[in-house]
Amino acid sequence: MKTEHLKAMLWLRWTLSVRLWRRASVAGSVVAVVTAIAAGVTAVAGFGFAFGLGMLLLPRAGPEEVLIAWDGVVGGFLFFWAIGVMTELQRTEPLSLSKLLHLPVSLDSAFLLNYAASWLCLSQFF
Amino acid sequence: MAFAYSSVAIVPDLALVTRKLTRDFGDVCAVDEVDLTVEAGTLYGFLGPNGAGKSTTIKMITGLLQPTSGEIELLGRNPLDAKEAIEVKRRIGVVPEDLALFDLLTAREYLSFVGRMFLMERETVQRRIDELLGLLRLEADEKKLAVEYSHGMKKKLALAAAILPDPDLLFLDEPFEGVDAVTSRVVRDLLASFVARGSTIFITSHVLEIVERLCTHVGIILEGRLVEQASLDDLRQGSSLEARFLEKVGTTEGAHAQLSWLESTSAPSAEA
Repeated sequence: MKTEHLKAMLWLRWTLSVRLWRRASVAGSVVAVVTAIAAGVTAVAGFGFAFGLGMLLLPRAGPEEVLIAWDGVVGGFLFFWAIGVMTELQRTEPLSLSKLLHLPVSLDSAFLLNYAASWLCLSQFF
Repeated sequence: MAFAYSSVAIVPDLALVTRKLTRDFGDVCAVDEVDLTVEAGTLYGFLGPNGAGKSTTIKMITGLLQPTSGEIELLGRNPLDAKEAIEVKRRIGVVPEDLALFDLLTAREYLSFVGRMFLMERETVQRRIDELLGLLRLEADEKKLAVEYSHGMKKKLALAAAILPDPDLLFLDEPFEGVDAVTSRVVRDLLASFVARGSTIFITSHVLEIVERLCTHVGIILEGRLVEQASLDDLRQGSSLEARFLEKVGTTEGAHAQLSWLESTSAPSAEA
């Protein structure tokens, strides 16, 4: 995999992503931004609330309650991790490989470049 | 009148050889043991009716599709070998059937991207882009996104991308489909000068007139099998390419007689 190829793919992905964003309807863009901000605020607030609750209650809890709390934390982590995996699986081919394979890249490189470039997408920031 | 290739040097090397090239899709054999031989410095026309296997053959040769069996030798190398495939791809240009453009890029952006993928120098890329856009009359629309282009303009852009890296061998899948007459002439002259300097072109086309004017060699594929491969003169033998082509693939002369409403010889007014 050549560095120049990676740069070109990152540029391509970013340009397409920005163009797609600009061409989307204003209402759709507003909803997406509001949703993203709401998700960010909820995540930060939820983390702070759970952390504070744990600091307040866990010192007085018995071993059974601590174990149940850990079960909840692990269960929640696995749930969101599984969502992440599902997202990853759908994100591996953002650009059709058939549009790249006539260019001087191997199938492996095209797949890797495509995957690497998929990180440079506006939706990733949310 | 056919183009004259008086400046073509006799090059003994073969640009493309396939041996028993085969591709199956389940029970359907799309390409059946095709043996192609394309001499370097020639313009080879690959003809066949719809669904004959032309595009599948090009896809296998250019690395877009894995053959079921058979061998390919492209510019003296084996493109089915992963180590040699990249080296081969650097020396070929391809206009695929679906054109493989990115709808949300402008013409200049797409050509720049292709130049970067071919590891070309930026100054060379920009100079060639200027020349190509001018020649193919895309200058005025270079800032438009490809999605806003007509089919003919997209075809021209894909052709520009294939020519940009100055390949030794060019594969064009239906390059004249949807292209206006003026551009068709420009493209024909461009391809002619390409061959005149020693490069090789492999094209598929349904426009037999253009193939007859342009090509030096012709291959005809029918139901996945190569039924003819010869120089244009040897194939025509004093006849027209169309006549010989229809002879090879089976003429449809008289097919209109199968339509009941065309069989009547009396005019509507006469019936009334």
